[in-house]
Amino acid sequence: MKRHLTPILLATLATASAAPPSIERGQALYQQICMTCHGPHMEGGIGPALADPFWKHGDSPEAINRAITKGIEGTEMMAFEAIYPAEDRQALTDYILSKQEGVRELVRFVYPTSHFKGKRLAPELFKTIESTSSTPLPENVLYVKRNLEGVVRVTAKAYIQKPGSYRFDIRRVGRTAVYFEGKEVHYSDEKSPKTEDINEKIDLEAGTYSFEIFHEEKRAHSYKFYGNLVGPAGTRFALSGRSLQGSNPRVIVAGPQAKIERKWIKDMPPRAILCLLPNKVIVAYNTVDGTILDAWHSAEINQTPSITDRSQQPSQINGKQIADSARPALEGTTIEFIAYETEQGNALIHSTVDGKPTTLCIAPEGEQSFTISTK
Amino acid sequence: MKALLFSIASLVLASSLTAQIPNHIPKGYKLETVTLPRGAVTILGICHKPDGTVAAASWEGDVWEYKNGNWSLFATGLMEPNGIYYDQEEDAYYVAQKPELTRLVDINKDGVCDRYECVTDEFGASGEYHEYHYGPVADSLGRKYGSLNLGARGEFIVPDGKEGVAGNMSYNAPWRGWVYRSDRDGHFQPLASGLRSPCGIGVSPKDELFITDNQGDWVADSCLYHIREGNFYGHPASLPARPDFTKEKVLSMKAEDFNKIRTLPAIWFPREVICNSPGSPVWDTSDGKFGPFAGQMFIGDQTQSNYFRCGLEEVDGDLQGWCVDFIRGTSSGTVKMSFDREGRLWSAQVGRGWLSKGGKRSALQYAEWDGETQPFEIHNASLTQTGFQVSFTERIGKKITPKVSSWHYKYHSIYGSPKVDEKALPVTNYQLSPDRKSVTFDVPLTAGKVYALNFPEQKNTDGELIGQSTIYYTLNKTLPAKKAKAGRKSPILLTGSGWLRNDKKRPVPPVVEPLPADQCQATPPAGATVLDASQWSNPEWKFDTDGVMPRSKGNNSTLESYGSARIHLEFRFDPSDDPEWTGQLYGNSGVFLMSGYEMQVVNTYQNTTFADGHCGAIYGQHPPRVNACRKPGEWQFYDILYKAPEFNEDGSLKEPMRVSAFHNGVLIHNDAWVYAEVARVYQKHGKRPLMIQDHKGTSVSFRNLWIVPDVDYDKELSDFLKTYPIN
Repeated sequence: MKRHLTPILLATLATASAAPPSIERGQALYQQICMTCHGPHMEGGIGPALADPFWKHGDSPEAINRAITKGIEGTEMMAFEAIYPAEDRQALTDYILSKQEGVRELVRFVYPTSHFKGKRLAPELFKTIESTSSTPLPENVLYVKRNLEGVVRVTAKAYIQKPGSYRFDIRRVGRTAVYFEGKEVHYSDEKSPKTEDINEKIDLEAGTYSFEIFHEEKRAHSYKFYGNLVGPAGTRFALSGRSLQGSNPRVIVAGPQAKIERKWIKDMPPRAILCLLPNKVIVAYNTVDGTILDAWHSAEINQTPSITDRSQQPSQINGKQIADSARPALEGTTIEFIAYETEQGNALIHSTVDGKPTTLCIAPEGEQSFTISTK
Repeated sequence: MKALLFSIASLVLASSLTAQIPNHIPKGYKLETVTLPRGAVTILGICHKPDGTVAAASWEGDVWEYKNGNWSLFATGLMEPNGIYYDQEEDAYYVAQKPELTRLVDINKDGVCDRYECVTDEFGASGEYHEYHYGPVADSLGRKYGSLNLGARGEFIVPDGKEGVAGNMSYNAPWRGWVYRSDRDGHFQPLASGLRSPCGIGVSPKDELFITDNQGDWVADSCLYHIREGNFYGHPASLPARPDFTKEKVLSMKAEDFNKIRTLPAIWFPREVICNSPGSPVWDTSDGKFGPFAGQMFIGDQTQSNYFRCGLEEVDGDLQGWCVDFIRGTSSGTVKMSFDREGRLWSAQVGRGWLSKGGKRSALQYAEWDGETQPFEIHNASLTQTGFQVSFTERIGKKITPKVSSWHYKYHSIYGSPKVDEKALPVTNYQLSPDRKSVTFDVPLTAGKVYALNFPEQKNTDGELIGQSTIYYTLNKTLPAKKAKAGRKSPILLTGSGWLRNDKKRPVPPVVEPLPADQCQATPPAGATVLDASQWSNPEWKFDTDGVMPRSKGNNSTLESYGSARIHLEFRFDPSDDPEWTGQLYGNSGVFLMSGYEMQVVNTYQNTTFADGHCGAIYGQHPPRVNACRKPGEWQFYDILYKAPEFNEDGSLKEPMRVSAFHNGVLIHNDAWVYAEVARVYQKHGKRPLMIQDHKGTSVSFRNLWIVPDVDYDKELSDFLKTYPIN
């Protein structure tokens, strides 16, 4: 039976998010000390970014407050209870939370399949059975282990900044149900006709909401669950992804000194090197034939996808392509790559061209460009 | 095209991870953990510097140094460096990055790498994720060795009609599935083929090269190979890189055809009880600091998270041996190991990508011995004519007849092999040695089997139970009835080659078509000295009116002395069908570079002789890459570029002689490293004459000899190698 796609209007549920004065106070405190390690825009630096979906030590209001209060052992994050009173630490927590958007506080429970055979996935069923595991997911996405045959239940929060119409867009595989603030807003079962699916739109104000995902996975080599929470103006929060398996996300940019990296990038030849310049330009150069392959400005390398599992995924370059940057950099019949090094902001690549030693210098130019020269 | 991801470990079912093999550490030993640097580093390689610094290479692409309890970042930006080696003479690290063997140099000695130098990138890398590159390790001459994984997905696979679970690995780029040597910048010398996932590589103190391979398609169980140059180790996907194979030929062959040409493992590692995914072997050269296992080989396993011990013995000219578990219960998968100067065995551990019993994603641990407590373990096993001899580290108490079983493996393209025909065997004639530390017993011996020798409940004289009660012996061959008579001279092992000098067992080079004679002609270039009658010192060797100089009485040297040079000469064997003059007696002479370094001249056109005595061989050292000999009666061509050896002030060798050469337009030596003079070790010398050898047997004649003296070998090499198309 097809349900009408009636938008469900939900009131904002006030959570621990405080009234504006606390957030203002938190912002002032953040600019005083926190930004020196976590960056003025929470982009990270010495300390991790606070504006990305990866929260190694927990992302709930309690976890954030505890991290500020007690610090993180084994790191430079000190226990700030020595400096700030409880209200100030709460203010900082509120400020940090006020900047968060997306799916957070995921906890994944796993159950045996037999209990759910022939029954519609719904919250009541989960009250009559013990889970076999419960795991907080610091990556803030749902991932299931390989070879899992079972039912997962994920409890989570949606932190909404942009008011508007939201919807759970989930791939039709296995059985999936989503309950948002206690109401069923999504249902699909690949064994049942599509007409029985439920895909409700939800109108939301800014605020924090609770929801649960129930999903029945069959044993398989690759993850099948795939979904996003989509909202107004292109807002998209990933619901699925890969476990970092204990890694920290790894993003590479040059500092005042240039950096040269060998990383597997999709569609790039295996011997390409990436020259990261201090002006956030990245130039890809092929050591085998002496050509510039491509270049980007305002760019960084995101190595995170490739540091899990067997490195079957390439790293990514996030940046804006510089048009027409592909060109030969060395002219000659026989090019032999010798070595690379950096000299302050420049990347230096030593080769022999037709037997003659030649150094290619790739240097930053302005905000968004680069130059090449040889000697 | 399969969408499945292929595993290099054995298929680990849920049950085996909870298999009841308990953790174990022998008495007197302990495992210590060193905290890794921040950022959840996954370490793949470890080595030590003489000052005690530990260097660790991480999968993420960094090299970290650990000294005095502190970590510092030495290098970064690498692509999955799977192994690290410290070269003391150069004060530089070598890492095997996926696309390149790289040298890391800290020029200003500030603890941070300044220059990333390409040592060799001549092997293929298609970019497929499973094409890992392992190593390097080095021999006593400082030459580096690395190994290359096949791909998990790709075009060229050899399923031989059978497709099992987890499918077949593929050959996507040149030299994948091979082990190689790089003896200087830019030089890549492929050594042996037939490997699948050669994750472990090591060079023994005797300069023998070993590889461990992982169970999978064509590989029945994980195992240790003793690498000999030119051999094929079983996985056929890498065969097309050999000059005597093509992809079509390989695809037309079956398992029984590959079986005839493969070299068996020296040691099989039964899965679960020993290992599933072994890493690199290291040898205990600590002189007893690591307990009573001096000289033995230690290997770690990624899945089982253990260290195990191995030993080898030579039976009928080939190595075979045993393995026994040692320490079980490391934090993560032990893949790379390194002994430090205090005799502690460190391991770089990784549990990412393939499940490891240890559980942790990565760890750095070392095992150390307390210096006095004798462990009670099986020390080693060796073969006798009728059974085995097994030694223990301490005196055994009550005599316990061991339980012995054997099995063998199938060789096929399917992933792994079960134990075939596993059966218990009757044990008789158990004898205990007077010192109570070794036993011998008889058991039916069959070549081609793996034996499990189990001493259940064995106690020492103090009533303590033995640590590991089972040792596994790979019995490729039984002992010959009579020991072979020792030869006149003691055999010389060629460094890192696996072969002896003049080794009769070394496979002969494949026969190929030479280039037509008219394409091998070469006119003397400017600067060449034509070696006509006026240039030679032995009056017995005369030039006839056609400029042909037959081999005559006594060696013939040039009047001039030469250093590095370019040589061209032509020779012709007199045809003979006299059965007395075969082998080394059919047209034997030799081109003695600088009077001491011989390139063999002998007819090997349909004439059998040993590999490094072939026409074009660096005699006793390097067989020619291929046999391009023309038939007797036809003129043949040598084009040689050689580099004179360099010596230090004190007379020691600084740089060896190097030889590159074509025979009839086909490449037979590519920058070969010459180990010694043909008749003696290197001795300091300067320029010396070119010499042509006299030898008994049928006749051979020479013509059109010229030499270009004082060439810059290194500068000329790449152009010289293009003189003819390399086939």
